[in-house]
Amino acid sequence: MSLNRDLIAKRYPDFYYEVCREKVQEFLFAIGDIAPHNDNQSDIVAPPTFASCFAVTKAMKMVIEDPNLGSHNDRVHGSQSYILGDRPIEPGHTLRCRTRISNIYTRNSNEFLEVDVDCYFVDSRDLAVHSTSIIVYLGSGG
Amino acid sequence: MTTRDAQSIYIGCILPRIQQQAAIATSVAYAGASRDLNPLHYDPEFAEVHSPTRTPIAHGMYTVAIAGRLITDFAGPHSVLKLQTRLTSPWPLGTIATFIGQIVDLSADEATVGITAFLRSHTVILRGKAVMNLRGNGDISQERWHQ
Repeated sequence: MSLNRDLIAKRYPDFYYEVCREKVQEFLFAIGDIAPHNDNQSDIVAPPTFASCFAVTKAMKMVIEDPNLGSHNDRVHGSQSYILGDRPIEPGHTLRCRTRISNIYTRNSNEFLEVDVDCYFVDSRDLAVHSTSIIVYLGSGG
Repeated sequence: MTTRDAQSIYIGCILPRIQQQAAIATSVAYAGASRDLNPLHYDPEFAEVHSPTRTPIAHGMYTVAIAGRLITDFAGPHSVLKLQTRLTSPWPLGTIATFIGQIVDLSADEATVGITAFLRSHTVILRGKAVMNLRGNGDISQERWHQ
């Protein structure tokens, strides 16, 4: 089984993500973030890894469920990188997210799927976060 | 903002470490928060068939989030400019991982932090690097004479 390399550079339809206070708090609770900077509810800032809620869960689901990709279940999330913009992500913001397959390649006997997601603030069009995920398909590289 | 005392950093210094147990409760909370509802992360029967360790394992992005906390616990929620991580091994629920961040490079505006997370068995579950913003963060001072 191997991934369809014709999909390299494929772009997916943009999607929107609304940052909501309850979701950020739920995320902070889940990761045990009880640092003093999050005590004041009126001053809540999403942690950098909150981006996984949209740049990973939402975007990767769209790519992996692409019927043309040839994804299969014998896979692990190999690497994850974030580059953050200058402006903090806060409740009330809406982000526009653009998803693209940046590469598919084989190394040893594994295949690697690399997906870039660029998320922009809709009000200012500034970059909120750039995410790169690499999924490793075990043993599918022939 | 914070009332933390001024903290000094220098090349080689280690940020306050985080020890965290991966548990069903944290895994369920993370699944809900991130909406990654893969039962691999909380359902023992499913995991027995599908997990590399035959037990539920933490979400990879949960592991990344704890790595991010090394920086945000120290320097605030908007102090991360970049976070690059590689997930090298699964983190089975019920086990404790130690997360260590060490300053490996330093300029007037930024500090680069090398990150490693490992289990008590010494298995490394994550390696990574973060770039921490020092600009406008008056709480952190640099001890340049340590370089």
